[in-house]
Amino acid sequence: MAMPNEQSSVPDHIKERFLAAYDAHVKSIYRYIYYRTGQEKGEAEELTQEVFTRTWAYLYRDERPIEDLRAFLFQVSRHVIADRWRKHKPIVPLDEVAPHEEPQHEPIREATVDTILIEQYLLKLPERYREVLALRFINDLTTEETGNILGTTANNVAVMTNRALGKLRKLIPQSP
Amino acid sequence: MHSNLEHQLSSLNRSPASEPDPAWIERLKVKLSWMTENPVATHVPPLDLQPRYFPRWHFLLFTGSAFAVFLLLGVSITLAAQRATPDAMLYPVKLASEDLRRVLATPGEAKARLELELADRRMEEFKTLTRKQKLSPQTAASLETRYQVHVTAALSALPAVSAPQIQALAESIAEVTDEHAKLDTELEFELSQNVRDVHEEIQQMRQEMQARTQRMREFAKDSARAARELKARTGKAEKVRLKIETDAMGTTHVKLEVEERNHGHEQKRVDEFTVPADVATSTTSIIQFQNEEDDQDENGNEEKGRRQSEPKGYLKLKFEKKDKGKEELKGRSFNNGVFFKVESEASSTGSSVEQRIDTNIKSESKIELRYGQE
Repeated sequence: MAMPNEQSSVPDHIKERFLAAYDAHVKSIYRYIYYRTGQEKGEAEELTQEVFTRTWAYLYRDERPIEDLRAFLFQVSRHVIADRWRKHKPIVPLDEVAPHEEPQHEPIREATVDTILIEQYLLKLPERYREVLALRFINDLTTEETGNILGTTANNVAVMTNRALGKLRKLIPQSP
Repeated sequence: MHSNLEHQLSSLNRSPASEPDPAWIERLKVKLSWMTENPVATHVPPLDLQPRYFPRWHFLLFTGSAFAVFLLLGVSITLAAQRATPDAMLYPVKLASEDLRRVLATPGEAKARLELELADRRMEEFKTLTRKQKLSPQTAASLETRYQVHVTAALSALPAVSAPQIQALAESIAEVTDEHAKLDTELEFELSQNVRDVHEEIQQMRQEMQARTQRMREFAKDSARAARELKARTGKAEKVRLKIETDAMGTTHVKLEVEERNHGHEQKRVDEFTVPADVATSTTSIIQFQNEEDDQDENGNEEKGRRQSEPKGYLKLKFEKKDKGKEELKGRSFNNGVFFKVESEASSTGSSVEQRIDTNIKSESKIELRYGQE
């Protein structure tokens, strides 16, 4: 692995590609991390920064071409989250998760209430289900793209998605 | 809510809670832009894009290695402990491993040889510590006891040894204990040199140790003698003729004739006891064996007189009248550290029964019954 010295410069097109990817995907990556971890803003920000720093390091070393930078960012996110859990696994009991404060100027609509509930029940799901739901619905990836990131087939992603949805349905109490 | 669950999940990407702070997005972009301009400032761990997981074989490898390391450590400690003296930290490990070997040893020759080896170890430890002047009275007492236990156990294991090996084994015991009896003289010399110019209490302690050394030597000497005697008796039966007579009054007369070999001469001794009619059980020691050989050889007449009052063994019999006219005789003969078992049952009411008991050190007593009217 050849480390460029101080004098060497990274080609401009790599810098541009990286910054463009940041603009395009920072929100998706942030949300993905936010829903996969304990829905803590501070932690999500910290891990998102780590994802982009690591991605830049990879681009800068130019070890192998990265075709799909978005998929690559999600893969790096998975590793960053796994590393964080290895160091400190968060324990977030549902009872202690307070509903997120909504901006006061915005009236609380029915849809917002449902969203808050779903966010809370997502925390109760097993990690692998939360991950597949986050990628498929929150980040709006296809089964193929999700399979690419998770290192599995599209079919398997579909099966996992169905199971995750079924589990989530069971968790959410029926409306009277 | 269930019907549009997928839609609601999708709406989470517009949830204000999951919306990053625009100011933070800007700040991070400035930071990353600066980083792209200063590549060497980037210090991150190398990327590993392969899935990180710990497969089962990793776990097995880890536990297997840990187990192997512990096993190796245990074996190493036990092996290292084998050279430990009682003042060493590993000595209890040594004793524990020896106790385990004693439990696992098969009765007979293996057991006798193990006990002999352990007795030898105790003697060596006793000598080593004395030479190093590290032998405390407590340790000395413990070593003496253990030494005696091992030697007695080695002698007691002899009757279970099969005939072809018993001679060699008895000789080994005799040789080893003979050696123990000799080497103690050297210790006495060292002790007496050191005793001169030390404090009175220490002198007293050393005198006690000297007395202990003396006792251990005597014990080793006696053990060697016992082993030789056992060897000499191997295969040669010691004849005991037993006569039980019940008279018209119901009194039982027990007459015991013992033929012993001593110095190649057969000696015959007779002992009698009676069990009255109203007594159902009687226990008595009827024969006390003497050891005349050593008295004459080493100590002359005076010593002989003293020694004769100290029996070297005895034959203890328990006579019991059972129901239906049966009489039972059970006994144990203890001679030179070895027990023989005597057991007999006879229907003898109103008649006389004669029994011949051949005691043989390599097996239990054989009993022959000869019935006959007086």
